[in-house]
Amino acid sequence: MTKIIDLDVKEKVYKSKKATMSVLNDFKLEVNSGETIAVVGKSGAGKTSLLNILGLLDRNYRGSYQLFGSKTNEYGLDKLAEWRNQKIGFVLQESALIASLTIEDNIRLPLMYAGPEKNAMAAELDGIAGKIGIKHILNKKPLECSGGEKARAVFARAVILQPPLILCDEPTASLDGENKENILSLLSRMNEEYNTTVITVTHDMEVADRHQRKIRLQREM
Amino acid sequence: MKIFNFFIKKIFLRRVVIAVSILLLILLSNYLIFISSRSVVSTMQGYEEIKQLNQKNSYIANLDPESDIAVDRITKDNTQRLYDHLKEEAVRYGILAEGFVIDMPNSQDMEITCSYLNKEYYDMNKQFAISQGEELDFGYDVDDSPVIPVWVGKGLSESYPLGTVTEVYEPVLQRNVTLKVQGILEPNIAHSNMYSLSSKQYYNFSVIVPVNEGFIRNADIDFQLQSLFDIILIDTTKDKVDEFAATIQDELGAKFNFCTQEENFEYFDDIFFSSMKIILVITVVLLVILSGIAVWSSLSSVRMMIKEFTINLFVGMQYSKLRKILYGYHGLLFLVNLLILLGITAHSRHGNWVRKDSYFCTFGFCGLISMDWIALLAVLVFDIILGAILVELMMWRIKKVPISLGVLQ
Amino acid sequence: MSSTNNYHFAVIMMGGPAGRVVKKGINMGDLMKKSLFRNIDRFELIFCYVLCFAFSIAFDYSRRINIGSDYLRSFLEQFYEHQGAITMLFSLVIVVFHCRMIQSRKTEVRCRILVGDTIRAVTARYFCECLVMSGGAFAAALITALAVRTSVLHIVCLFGIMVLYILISSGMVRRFENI
Repeated sequence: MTKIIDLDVKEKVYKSKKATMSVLNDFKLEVNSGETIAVVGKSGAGKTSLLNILGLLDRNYRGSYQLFGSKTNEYGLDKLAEWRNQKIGFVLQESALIASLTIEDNIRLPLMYAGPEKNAMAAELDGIAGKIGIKHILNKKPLECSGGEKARAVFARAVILQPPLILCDEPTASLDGENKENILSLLSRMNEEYNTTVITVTHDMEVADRHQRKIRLQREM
Repeated sequence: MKIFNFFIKKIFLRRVVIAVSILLLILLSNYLIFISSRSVVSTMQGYEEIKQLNQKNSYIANLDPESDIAVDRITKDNTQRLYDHLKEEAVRYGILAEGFVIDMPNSQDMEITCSYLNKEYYDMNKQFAISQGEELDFGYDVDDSPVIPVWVGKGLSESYPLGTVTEVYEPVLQRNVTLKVQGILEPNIAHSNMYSLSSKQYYNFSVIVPVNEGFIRNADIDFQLQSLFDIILIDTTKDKVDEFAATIQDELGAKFNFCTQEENFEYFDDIFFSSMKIILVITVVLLVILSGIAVWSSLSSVRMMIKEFTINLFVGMQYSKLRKILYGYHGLLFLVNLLILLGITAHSRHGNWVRKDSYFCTFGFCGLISMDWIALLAVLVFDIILGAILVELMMWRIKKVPISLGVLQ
Repeated sequence: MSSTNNYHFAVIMMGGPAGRVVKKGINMGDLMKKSLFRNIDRFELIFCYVLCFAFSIAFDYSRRINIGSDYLRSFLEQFYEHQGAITMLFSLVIVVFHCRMIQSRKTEVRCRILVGDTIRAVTARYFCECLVMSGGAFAAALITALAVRTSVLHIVCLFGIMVLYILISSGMVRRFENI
């Protein structure tokens, strides 16, 4: 098993006019390829901050982050964007869809930024849509879809380029039992079939229990 | 190109009201620049022409604003004596008389006007460039029923090509004369009004007739009188000018002022350049306000589209790509604006043709002439600067909101 | 409190839908508290209105005064002949404001409805507040126009256009009821 994530955060500080808040102090994380990890903790513990750092969205922290053996701190914004496109998929809450696009257009979004080589390797949309069960909504807009359908659409967008790492931020937060199970099964399948590493931020212990490892973040008082 | 199309069709134009509002606000600033630039260019062109006439030791006449001229009491003898006086005193003078309609059928069905100028005026004013033909010949004797060599404007070159000889009823000689087309003017040759330098009339449908002493003597009173209004006394002394002014007072009962080169330059400075400064100040102030509004509108549109931008950044769009897309989008907006301005100007120029306003008909791509293209270039330069400012501010605004999962919740 | 009373007075004087809101006994003091506008939004909108009216008055004033220079007058004539269109284009800045305002208050409108407000009341408050602000700017513009003796017709037409923008944007607020 190869180590794909080697994160060492000394400190992540949020400053506002009224207060300064510090999270993830002296936080270390090593993740191997194919692992599934749940990140749990109370509000304000830094779960989303952790995902932002892991997802190459946030570089304003003290520390180092090696992803797939590369020191990401040395990369420029364009390179980080390229990696986000090709190596990371984000599974978020269903609100992360562009309302003016159809579900199909939303799912195809990463393909626009991938090169022709990556485009050729991309999973067939029809195949994914069929497996996930959203073929019937491809031509609909997000407003016309149910919460479960939108959640699966977000999942489809995250996996269309078959990224080796999937980051999930409360993916099942607003879903009923059946839809929650659907999403969790899909994530499991990605992990089993493609050895995809999955890191999930969640409040739901049932969701957390479905992962191989649990990391609990605590907020420093 | 695919990504650019996607952004244009699926993101920017989805908010049609905003896109159209910003387009029209930019159109307003572009129109302002276009009008101001064109005014300045036209004025400078007029000024260059007048500089040629406003020479050292020359005096340009104008009717005193407080003086009344009783035209019906003036006879041809009165006016002829004035020309005789100039001859006796050996004072050289330049004249240009315009607006006399001549009956010359033509393919465009335009009303043709004659412009008369004597050799001295012709030598001073070099704006009459020809594309074909020869220099005008002023040596004919009008009493010998000669063939009078003339130049015609570009618009008449089809109906009256070079070398054409035609008999017409001459409006100032009030008899039939034979004209020979000796030259075709370059397109859009123009003459500026001395008291409104930006105001021009074009000779595309005019006949330029060379006049001499004999012609003036045979011409009617309208011609003789009109020629006096802007007469230029060349290379002479103040005493002779004052004497001539006194003679005019006696013969016509009207006061004519004769301004020196310095007085004329002072006049232009007072009237035109100070007005131009006011125009520039008004233009700059309005541009600052309109640019501020364009900036505010663009930043507002960023706020409205921040979710779309953020999701695209999530899935791998690079900031550099987004910057290019924004430049492309604004380039498209500005191109549409330029085309609209082109359309408005072409429509205005075309209107002159439809109304058969022969003095304002111009030749050029869509009827546009050099000052229009220079003004459009000024608009383009402004658009490039404004576009760069807008895009960089939009990028700054987008980057200010960190891409973060929190933004979408 | 006195500013609330003045607000109350201004709305009653306008009658119409604002008056109906008053008659239904809605506490006008709440109008400010429940408003979709923040202070910065009010400032921006009033600034837009004032700018449009100022532009129109300046246009008319420049036509009225004796500009000594024919050259300057002939330059300004090129704008006078398109005065209506130019003023209308300038007023698009208000359209941009309304679009942005509507877009950014979508969630707030939905939340207000969730906690017991009605779309009708939200729309009416939005409409009234926009009308009061534009009415205030219009009154100031009218006084200025009369003071400098320029035409009030253009000011009145401009106010009519502003009311039209307000009506259309109020209609857009209603759409958020079911989203």
